[in-house]
Amino acid sequence: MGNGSSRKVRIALAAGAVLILVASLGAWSAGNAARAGSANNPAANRAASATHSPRSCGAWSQQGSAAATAAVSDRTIRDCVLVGTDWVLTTVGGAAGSANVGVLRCGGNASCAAGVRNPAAYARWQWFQPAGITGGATILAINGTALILDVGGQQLSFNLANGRFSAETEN
Amino acid sequence: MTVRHIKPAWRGRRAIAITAIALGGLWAVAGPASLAFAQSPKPNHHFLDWRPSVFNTRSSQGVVVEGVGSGRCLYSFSSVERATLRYVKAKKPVWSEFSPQSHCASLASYKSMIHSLIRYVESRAASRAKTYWAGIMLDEEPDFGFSASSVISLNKYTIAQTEKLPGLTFVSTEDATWSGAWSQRQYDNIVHGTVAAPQVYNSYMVKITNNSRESENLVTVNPAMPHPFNSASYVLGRVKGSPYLGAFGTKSNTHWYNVWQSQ
Repeated sequence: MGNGSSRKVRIALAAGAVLILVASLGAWSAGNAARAGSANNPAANRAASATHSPRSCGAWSQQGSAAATAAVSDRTIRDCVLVGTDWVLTTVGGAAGSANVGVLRCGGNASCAAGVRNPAAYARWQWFQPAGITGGATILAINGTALILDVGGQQLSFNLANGRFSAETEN
Repeated sequence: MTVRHIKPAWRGRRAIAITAIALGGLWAVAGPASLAFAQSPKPNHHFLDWRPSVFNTRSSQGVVVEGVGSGRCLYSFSSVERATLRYVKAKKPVWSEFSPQSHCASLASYKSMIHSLIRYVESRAASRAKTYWAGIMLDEEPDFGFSASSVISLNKYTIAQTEKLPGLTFVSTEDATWSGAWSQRQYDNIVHGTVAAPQVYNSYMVKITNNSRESENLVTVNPAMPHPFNSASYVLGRVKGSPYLGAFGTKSNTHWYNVWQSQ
């Protein structure tokens, strides 16, 4: 092989290395930006809110964020949804006897219901547990302001208006 | 004409260089996500949940009849039967879903319901069912009152019931677990042999799904999940492997994901 071929291979190797270096810097930068998007970084949250779907759970609901941890402690967030003007969180995996249905009532506060800012800035979470039943809560369906939930193997209806559970029976 | 011979050592270096350029270029253009997990090919069709009393053929390419607990709970088993048959007759790809819960029905009762549902649909629309009835979807979760071995038994029963049917009718498992609940091994054993339809609602379920033995997943997304898992594109971009493949009477291959919705 001549010197020409050898030079071409060296140039190709160098070009590849430069491209990888540039790409790595870009990835490092993107990674830093993503990591900055935590509940503790208001600037990043404002940026994230630009792509936030209205009335869906914003960055505040991200498991492990400061806002989410303040609401659910070490429980796992199973569902997060706005029903009417009430935010609903359900959780699983908590200590035995944990209340696993959280409701935060925004009332007429449109900013609270928008979901961009942590709604705990406007109202407090209330936690509900059906009497005599333990276990995590999962939303199975939503029927108006009634949630059909599973709590510990029991399918229950939860009335958001009055915060009461009732047993589901075949319709 | 001059024929140039390149030594094996130089060929190797050239191949490395070309590969490095290609990878560097891909990473530079598409970002790190291009080298991360993502469903491939990208799903282009989705199933959407509706309760049995709703008949909606326009909002999505496919439908899931959401029967929830049935048995002693909502919704009635007969309503699931009727809704399934209606979609099949309308040539709409459809899954019939139950969320087995121990207080709604016993394991034996769920098996009986599944058997009855198959007889009901097959006796009334066998020809269309083989093309449009995706089958039975089971939403199984650790807190629903059945042990891992119980749901494995239910799944094996349902597989046995559906695998002998003509066409694509089968069973999917729309399952979820979390830290301290069903383990990776238990999850793997539960979904084995079914169409896995994992509810990917947090990083833990991403890990469970990506570490499972299933190379194909009907990924279930849910706008009522916490951020950022309420975004279908985010979730589908984090799950490896291929999406569920089902033609459902079309000439082209369609790749699916599954969307739970509040109905």
